[in-house]
This record gives sequence, structure tokens and C-alpha cells, in this order.
Amino acid sequence: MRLSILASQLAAFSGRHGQNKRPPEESRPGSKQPKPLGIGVSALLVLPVAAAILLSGSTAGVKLILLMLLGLLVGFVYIVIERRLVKYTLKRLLGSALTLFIIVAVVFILLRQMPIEGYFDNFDKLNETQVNVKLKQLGLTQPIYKQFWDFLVKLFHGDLGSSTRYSAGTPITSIIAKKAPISIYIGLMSMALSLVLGIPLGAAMARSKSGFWDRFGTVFIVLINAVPAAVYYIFIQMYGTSWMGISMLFDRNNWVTWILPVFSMSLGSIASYAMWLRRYMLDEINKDYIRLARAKGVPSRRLMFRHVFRNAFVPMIQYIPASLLYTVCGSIYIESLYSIPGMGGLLVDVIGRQDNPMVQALVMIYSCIGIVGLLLGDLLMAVIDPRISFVKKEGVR
Amino acid sequence: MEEPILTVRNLNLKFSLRGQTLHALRDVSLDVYKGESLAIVGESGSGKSVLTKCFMGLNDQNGFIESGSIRYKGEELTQFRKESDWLRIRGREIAMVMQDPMTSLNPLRTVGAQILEAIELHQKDLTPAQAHRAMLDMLSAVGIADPEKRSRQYPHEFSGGMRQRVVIAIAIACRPNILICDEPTTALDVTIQAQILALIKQLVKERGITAIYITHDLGVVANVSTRIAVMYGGDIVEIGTSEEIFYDPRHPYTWALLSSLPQLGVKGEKLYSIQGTQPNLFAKVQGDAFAPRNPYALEIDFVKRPPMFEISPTHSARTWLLDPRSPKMEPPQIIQKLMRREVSLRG
Repeated sequence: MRLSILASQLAAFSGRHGQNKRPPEESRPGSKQPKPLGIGVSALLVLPVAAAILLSGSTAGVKLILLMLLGLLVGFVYIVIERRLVKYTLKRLLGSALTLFIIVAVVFILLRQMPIEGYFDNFDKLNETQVNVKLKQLGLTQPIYKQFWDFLVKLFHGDLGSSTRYSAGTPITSIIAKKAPISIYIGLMSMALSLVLGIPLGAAMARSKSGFWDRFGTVFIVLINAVPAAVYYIFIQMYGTSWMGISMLFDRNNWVTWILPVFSMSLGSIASYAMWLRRYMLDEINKDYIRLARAKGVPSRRLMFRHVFRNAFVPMIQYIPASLLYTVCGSIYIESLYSIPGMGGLLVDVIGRQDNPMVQALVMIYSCIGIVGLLLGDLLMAVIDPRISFVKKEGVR
Repeated sequence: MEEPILTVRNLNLKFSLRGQTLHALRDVSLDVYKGESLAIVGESGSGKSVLTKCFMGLNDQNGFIESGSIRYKGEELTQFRKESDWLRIRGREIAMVMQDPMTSLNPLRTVGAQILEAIELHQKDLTPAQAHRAMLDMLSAVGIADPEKRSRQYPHEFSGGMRQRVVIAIAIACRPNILICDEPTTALDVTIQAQILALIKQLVKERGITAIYITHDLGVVANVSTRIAVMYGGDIVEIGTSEEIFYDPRHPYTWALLSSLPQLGVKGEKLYSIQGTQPNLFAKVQGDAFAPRNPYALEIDFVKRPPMFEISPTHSARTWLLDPRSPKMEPPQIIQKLMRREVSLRG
């Protein structure tokens, strides 16, 4: 049967049929790329382990954490080089450093405008001469650029100055060193818990759209977001402690007292992880490549994990480094409810007491954490998503 | 003709949408023969894709088969309820090439991994090294040079045409008996379209795969198919060999479709276009679905649905015009010319 009715027209375009000659414009060089996602996933698996080790609270645990972080860093650097992200990374690093410098400068200058009472623990008792002597001692009578330079030099030696009113004379670094670990432990554990519970919840919600898990999860998310955290924190403390038969206050050496604070703290992030993961997964499910994968015979469980979940997790992974780092800050509510000697509320406390050097140090630390968290999030995104490429503008037709 | 490989009988499929029911497939019957290239043509919304998705159980959850049967290799596909049933069919027996290559590949997995997945799912006896080898062979079979390197790249590093080649590689890698090509060239540049069609045609021929093309582009149809089914309003209105459909069309809708081909238009005259819109499938369709848009409609067309009239063993059409009692109707000028082969569709 001779049926090349319109075929001849089309054939004119294509040259000889069946030969599969590739036109040159379709080919272009590409770069060799490894599979980077495995590392991201294994980093997540590290978290619960890290939390378990932290529970012991020993120095060996701390060392192990540092070791793991170092391992991650090495892996990260390897991928950055392999994916040719060095230039991008350096650019982002420089940008972050600049931002940090500006923040430090602004905070420093602003705090120099504060009342001088903030440098004394007994201002009312001193006469003017004594005040002036102390100010001179602290170097505060010098021009501001000189002060700033001295501050930076000290900063590079790891000296943040000393507290004046909060705990007069104590170096700020040692105050933080005493308080931060407990906040980090609780924060990391609650983060691990919220990942371990929130992600499966979100995945289950997406899988059983308008089924049991979806309804259950929606009720949970709405409840957590609608009820002020302070309210359910108190309920958890009241009923939790009486149900478990333990005292209301936190005791570092009794692991049972860790449960309720960690649990309360993770509730909010469980809800948000579940909510976002569900949303991103539903976005992915309706995409064509999922249809194609289904059509080629991928079983739905495998489809969910290998394709949908994996791709839905990419936009989420961006926020994980930041939340990891923010555990340092602690939670003001929870730490005061259970009287945990952590970082939560420390900033509010020192502002209330007008401890200028402490305020300065804490604001800098917190903004530093924020910047580094964002930086890491962006880099992690770039490492995990092959579409983010900074080599050359090429690839998409 | 040989035994049909796939048989559809009186298939009725409905979608429930916000309390309403959409009758997407109305009593469709179709035979697909082994080794043939069947083209299903029709406007958007005529039920082409829905019909083929039934073969793989890929319709959305709110679609349900009300009655009818789909038989493939002695199995009744309409009885499939579990996913494991469909997994025997999907990919392994029937594979699919989809419309838009820009979105039908997973952006975060390498091209090689995506082909490999299809191979691993359907050829479980291969060792990893053999599977890898097969994946590279598949890439070269669809005309991708340097498969070793390209297989490690991600979809965004491929152009549209190259991606469609990869999608074809994935489908063929499953080693299916039937390949459904759902508008495989719609999203591509005109220059690439012919290459992709030629590639599919060649692969299908080499491997003895039965091909079903879904398209609204009669140019594609002419190029690749041996048989054509014309769909309108959720039903097949005319079916026959390509020769019969192009040179002896009987259904007024087929006439209208052919008349609107630019190749048949007379220079300087306005190109024919079909007036009106497709029937509302939410409502019950009375009589012939095409009647309201049909200048040749008889009164009975608005009352009673025409049966399938057989014109030849391979050719039949669903129109009252073929009833011996109906008045003699002259097809449009252009179609008459076509039937006398005075004009050639060769342009």
C-alpha cells in the first residue's frame, strides 16, 4: 500500500528515514555528574543517631557529633568541586561574609549609642570620676573606629568581651558555652523527632489523599497552627508530667524529663514538615513524568519513594540547615516552662538588664547563624538539584 | 487480517466530576491487529487518550468503566481492580510515549537511570552489567550518540527532540507488544517531528511492535499508519484502512476533517472549518453526536443513533447516510475530487 500522502512533505524535512541522523544542534557537551542525593539522605539518617548520642550528654558525644559534621563537610566540599560549584560557592561565601560584616558594624555602632549604664553593675553607687575611669578602662572614650577595630581584633581571637550586669565580669564565651549545649541537645533531638514523624506523616497524607491519614494530618496541622503554642505547651506539661508521674522541672541527669520538652518543641515543626511535604508531593504527583513512570510499570510504592518523595524533598531540604543551626537559640517558652538552663530567653534577659556587651555578642551570633543557615541551604539545594547549574548558561532548549 | 491482539467491545466509560457524570466513551468497539499501525484521530476531547488509557488502567480515579469489555491476550482488562494486575500490563505488554517530552522525564534522575529502571522492571533476569549494556544499546537505538556520556546526564541537558528520543527509549526498553504514542510530536519543532516519527516507525517495524498513534494531525497519520479510526464525541464514527479513509470517506465528520486540511484548500479561498462545538458529554447525546454541526444531517440523525454500517470488511462508518433508505447525498466537492483521485493529498 502506497500511502505517503503527506509523508513526502514531512520527509523533505527529515532527509532519509530510518537512519536516525542526529542533527548537530541537538547535541551538546555535558559534564560528568555523580549522584548527590544519597549524601543528603544519609545526612538525614545521621540526625536520629546524633540525637541518641547527645542524650548521654557526654563529651565523647560532642566529639562524635563534630566528627560527623566534619564528615558531612568533606562530602559537601567534594560535591561542590565535582559539580563545578566552586565559583558559585565562593561567591556566596564572600557575599555572606560581607553581610555579616555589615551586621556586626551596625550592631556595634547602635550599641555604642545605648546609655552607659549598660557597662556597670553598680552604676548608681559610682561618682562621675569613677565612671570615667571605668569607661576609659573599657576603651569607650576612644573614637568609634578605633573601638571597632579593637573589637574586631578581639573577635578574631574568640573574645566576645565580658558580661557587665548579667553576670558581672564573666567572659561572654564561657556563659554561652555553659548554656548553649543544653539548648542544642534539646533542639537537635526535637528536630530529629519532627523529621522522623513529620515526613512520614506528610508522605502518608499525600499518598492517601482524602483518606484516613490525610484527614488525621489535616486536623493535626490545623490544631497545631490554630492553638497558640503556649497553650498546648502548658497542657502537655500539666497532663504529661502527672501521667508519667514525674516532676514538672527539667533534670539534666534524668532522661525521662527530656521527653516532654523535646516532644512539645517538635510539634510545631512536625506540623509544618507534614504540611509542606504533602503539598510538594501532591505537586509532583500530578506531573507528567510521574504518569510516564506509571505507564512504564513502576509500582506505586516505588513510584512514591523513588520519584515523588525524592523530588518533593528538594524544596524542603533548603530550610533544614537553618533550622538545625537555630537550635542553638533554644526556645524561650519551653525553657522557661521546664526551667531548662539553656539559651532560650537569654537575649531578652540581657536586653532587660541592659548588659550591652552581652546584647552585642548575642545579636551577632544569632544573625551569624541565620546567614550561615541560609548559605548552607542554598548550597545544599544547588548540590542536590542538578538543574541549578552555574557552569555555563546552556542546557535548556 | 490476522487475529486481533486487543479487542474492545461496547466500552462505556464515565467520569464523575463534582456530582455530574461525563460520558467520555460511548459504546466504543475496536479491534487492534498484531503488527499494524493504527491511528486514532479526532478533535481534542473526543476521547482518544481516554480510550488508550483504559488499556493500561491509567485513567484518573474518578473514571469508571460502566460496561463493555477490553480483551488482551485472553485477559479481561475491565475486570482488573488491583495494581498488581495492571503491573503485568503496564510497560511489559503495553507501553506509552507521551505528548510533552519537556515534562515527561524526572528532572532529578539521570537519563540513564530512567531507562535502566524500565529495563530492570521488565527484564529481571539481567545482571546489573547486562542491564547497563542494554540501556546504552537502547540509547544508541534511538539515535543518541555517545550513550555512555549522555546516560549520565540529566534531562535538562537534552533538547526537546532528544528528550522525546529518551522517552521512546524508555518505552521500547520495556519490550512491549503494543506501543501507544499519545501525540508524540505535538510539542516538538516541525523539523524534529518527522525525525521522531521516522524513528518510532522504524523501531516499531524492527521489533514487531503494534503501534497505536493518537493524534489530531492527519499529516502524522498519513505518514505512519496503516489503519485509521476517526473518533467524535466519545465514539468511533468511521474506521478503515488509511486508503479507505483518505480516498473513500463516508462519514460527514470525516469529510469535514479532510476538507479542513490545508493541503486540500484552494489557493485564495478561505480554508474550510467545522462550525459549532463538540457535544456536551455531561448531557445525554440524542441521535448522532455530530448531527448539530452536520450540514448533511437527516432528521433521523437527531432522533436515533446510527448503527455501524459496513462498507467493506475493513471499512465501516456510523452514519445514517449509508442506510439504503436514506436520500442520496453528494459529499462536498473537494471530497468528490479526492474520491475520483483528481486531487492528491501529496500537496
